[in-house]
Order: sequence, then structure tokens, then C-alpha cells
Amino acid sequence: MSGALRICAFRSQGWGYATRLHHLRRRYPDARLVVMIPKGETVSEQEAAYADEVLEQPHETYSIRKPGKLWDLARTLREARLDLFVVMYPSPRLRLVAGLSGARRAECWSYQNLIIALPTRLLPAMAVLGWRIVQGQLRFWRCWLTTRLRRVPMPGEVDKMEARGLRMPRR
Amino acid sequence: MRIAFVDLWFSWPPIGGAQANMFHTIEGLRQAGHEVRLFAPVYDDLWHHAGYEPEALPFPSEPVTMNWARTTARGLCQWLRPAVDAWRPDVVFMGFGRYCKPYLIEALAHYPIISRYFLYEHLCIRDGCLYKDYETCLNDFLRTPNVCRKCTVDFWEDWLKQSDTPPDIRDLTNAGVLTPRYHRLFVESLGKCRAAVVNNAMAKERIDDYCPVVRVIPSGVKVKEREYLPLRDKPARERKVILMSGRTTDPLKGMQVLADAGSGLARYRSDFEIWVTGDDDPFQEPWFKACGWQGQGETMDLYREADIVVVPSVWAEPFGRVAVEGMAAGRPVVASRIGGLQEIVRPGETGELFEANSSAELALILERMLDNPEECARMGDRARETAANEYDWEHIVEAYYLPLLEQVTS
Repeated sequence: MSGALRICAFRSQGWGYATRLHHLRRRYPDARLVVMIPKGETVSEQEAAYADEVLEQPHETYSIRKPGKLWDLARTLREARLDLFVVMYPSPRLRLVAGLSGARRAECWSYQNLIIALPTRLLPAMAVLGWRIVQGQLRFWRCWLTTRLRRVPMPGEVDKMEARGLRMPRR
Repeated sequence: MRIAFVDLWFSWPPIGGAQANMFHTIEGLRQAGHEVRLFAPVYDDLWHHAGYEPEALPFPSEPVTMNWARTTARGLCQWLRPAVDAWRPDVVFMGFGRYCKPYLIEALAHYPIISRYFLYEHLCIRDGCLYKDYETCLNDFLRTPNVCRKCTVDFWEDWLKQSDTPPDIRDLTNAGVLTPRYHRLFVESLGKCRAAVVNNAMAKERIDDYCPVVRVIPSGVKVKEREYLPLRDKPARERKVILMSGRTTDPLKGMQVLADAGSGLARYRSDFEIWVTGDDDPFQEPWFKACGWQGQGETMDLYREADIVVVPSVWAEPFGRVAVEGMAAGRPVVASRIGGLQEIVRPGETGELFEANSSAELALILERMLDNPEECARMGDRARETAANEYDWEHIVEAYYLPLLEQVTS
């Protein structure tokens, strides 16, 4: 086994992955850079130029509601034996993934676009994520109730799509 | 005249047509002799917005650093009103403001305001696209607010529930868009503007009753700055190039329609290639080529290589900048008969129109054009001439904005 630092750059939804790889390569010029892409996706030419190794994630997306998928991801990451795990954003979900990675430390890009250390302890990460999920649910239901209970007074308003017998597909 | 431009989403270099439109409008009016100043925030926490460097702009600007997560409509107004008041403009020109726009108009209502509505932001609070069930939505927020509010919540359900709130959703909730009060504010804000500027006739028709003056002003391109290689002088290629430019991965742009037409044509002819900008090549056909994401300069090279430009959008594009770019490059444009596109392309003269989503009609048109290179060259010349006469920024400022300013201030 070589002594080079093994860094995994985890690709998630969002822009600027290649730019981040560029920053990473500049910050750790001698490290072995493992690019981890979602299942079924490909590495662009620009990204491939920075990668020493490409690893495919076992699934496309991850959620705390599907622990099986998270477990598969944790297993894949731990098998890769990483020294540093890097994610694109300091989001609670990615913080949880970083915690599962088994890497000695984790980093991410802050909202000001600076590389910062990411806490990887599992329990606090799960607590933050749980609270944010509750917040999201409350936000949605508040909006849902507002639109259903507090109507804009508009006499004679007709849903033209409903009148034509059409329904909006759920996305 | 002193004109204050307010835009909450301004960035330079532009990340979209709206930013480019604002830039050229401001610059055009400055060159026409008016005193201009841009009031636009720079967000410190938003990667999606490249922001801007005031020194890189040819006109003066007043940036203020803001944090989107903490910015509320009231916070924006508290910054904006004193800043604009201190400069004492004669007219305020409101650019992209998305959900906070009614608040900004309210805060600056003591000035004559011209409000520019990009996309269908004045009609569709969901995403500004006015596209539902695979066709142009017949509802709009002005007339059917309750339907639109429900549609917005249902559409954004997953995003509203997400632990990481994207900027659009923060904007939506911060501005209280889903409350009944917002609708009243929205309608009142239209009435408080001296004039509203929209992109096409449909958008105008729907707000005519709400705003004293509504003008359709197209966007433009810098036609004279674009190198022109007439189609008949272009070096001959073995296969003719049909180009689709823009954000081709967006399903609303209709790449699938073009690919279906291409696969129909490919059954009995092999003298063409379809080139698209973007990295995705979902079809893996020998006649299909994904050219990768292109910057402005490289896109110009692609237009020069192309023989025909296709804009197969399936939604009612408010304007259709790609069509004008194709025309400015001197290429015939084949576009969907929908939204602003049908107002840009003149069938038989500068290109052809086909029914949106109809790959069969598109294939027939492409076949006819591939068989008639002379006709294509004639249309290309005419397209370039039309772009130069009607869509050059100089012309747009002179023909539309200057008379509007005069009308608003008289």
C-alpha cells in the first residue's frame, strides 16, 4: 500500500463538481484522488483529468428514511479505506454520509466557497438531520394549510384545467 | 435623465438571458446619453449566482453584500429605498426580482417605475414557466390565485420538505408568496408601475387589464459584433449540420422532438448530422453529436459550422434568444410555433415554424431544407438582415426604450 493520502471526492447533486476537483488537486497535489459518482452516471472528461480512481456509488440517492441504501454506501466507503472524505456542501445529509465514510477526517466547501473541516461524529449529524427534516415537514404543511385554509377572495374563480377534466401529475 | 436599475439576480458574466438583457439595456441607455446606476445585491452564500464585480461593469453600480438565508423582503427594501433615494433618479427600472418584486415596487412607488417581467414571472408563481400538463397553462396568478398557490405547493412539495432549502424556496417562503396578502400586494404593484415590459404578445394580453401601459420589448443580440459567414460561402461538408443550441438537457427545450425527427430522416438519408450543445448524448446515434457545454465564443463557432438552426422548444418560450442568435449568424431557423418564437421567425422568409412537439412536421421541413441549399442560403441572408434591423441592441434601445422612457416621464 502506498503512503499517499487517499481522498474521496463525493459527487452529489449541484453544480461545480469539476471546479471543486480542481481546487482539491491544487490543495493536495500528491494525494490519490478517488472520484465517487452516483450509480449510472459517468465522469466527464474534465473530471477524469483530476481522478486517479473512479468509484461508483451503490445507489443514485441516499436518505435517512432508507437506511439500507446508507448501509450499502457506508460499506463501499469503508472498503475504500479513506484518509479524507470530501463532500460538496455542508448539508446535514452529506455530513451524515461523511460520518459513515469511516475516513479519519472530512472536509467540504462552505457557503462562502472555502474548504472547511466537517464534523463527522454520527450522533450529532443524525440529530441535525432529524431536526432539519422536521423543519422541512413543518414548512411544507404550513404552506399547504395556508393555501387550503386561507383563500384569496376571488368570486367566480374557476380552475380552467379542472373544468377541462385534466389533473396535474405529481412530480 | 437619471435611471436607477434594480435587479435582485444580476450577475456578470451573465448566467442567463435575463442578466444579459439587463446589462445591454443599461449599457444601451447609458450610450444614449442617460445617467444610469445599477442597484443589485451580491449574495455571499449563493453559488448559483456568480455575482458581479462593480469594476468590471462599464456603468456605475451600487452593490451590497447580502446573505440569502437571512434576507427577507423587508430587509431588501430597507437597503434599497435609502440607497435609491440618495441618488434621486427620475425613473426606476425594475429587473429580475422574482417573489420580492411587489415589495420593492411598493418601497419605490414614489418614483415612476418601469417593471421588466422576465419568463412569465408575473403570471406563474410556481416556476415562471406557465407550463402544466405538457401545454401552456391556462391559469395565471392574477386571475386564479388560489389554483396557482395550490399548484405551487404541490409542485415544490419535495423541495419544501428538504432539509437543505434551495434559494428559490427560501425566496418563496421569505416573501410570503402563498399568503392571501401577497396576491393583493402583487396586483397593486402592477397598478403602481407606470409601465410593464414583457417578452411576447401572450404575456402582454394577460396583464393588459392590470397595468396602465404594457409594452412587448424583445431581447436582442449584438449583431454587428458577430462575424458573419454567409451560408453560400461556408466550406462544403460531407454532411450538413443541424444545430440545436442552448440548455438542451432541459426537457422543455425539446431535444427529444429533434432526435425523433432525426431518426425519421436517418432511415433514408445520411447527409446530415444533428449537433447539440451540452454533454449528454442519450441517443448514441452516428448522426447525433453532443458538442459539450459551450461558452459564448465557441457557440459562435458552432453557428458558423451549422447549416440550419433548430429551436424545438415544447413550452412557450417567452422570447427565444437562441433563434435570434441563429438569425444573427445568418442561418435559417426552424422553430416551434409557440410563445415568443412564433413572433421571431417568419415562415418562408427567415426560417420555418412547426407545431410544437410534432417531430413528423419538423422532419418534413428539415428534409425540404436539406434538399434546397439555395433556399436555405436565401433564408439565412434574410435572417441576418432581420436580426440586424430588428434585434440589434442599438435598435431595441432606440425603437423601444427611449420612447417608453419619454412616455413614462411625460
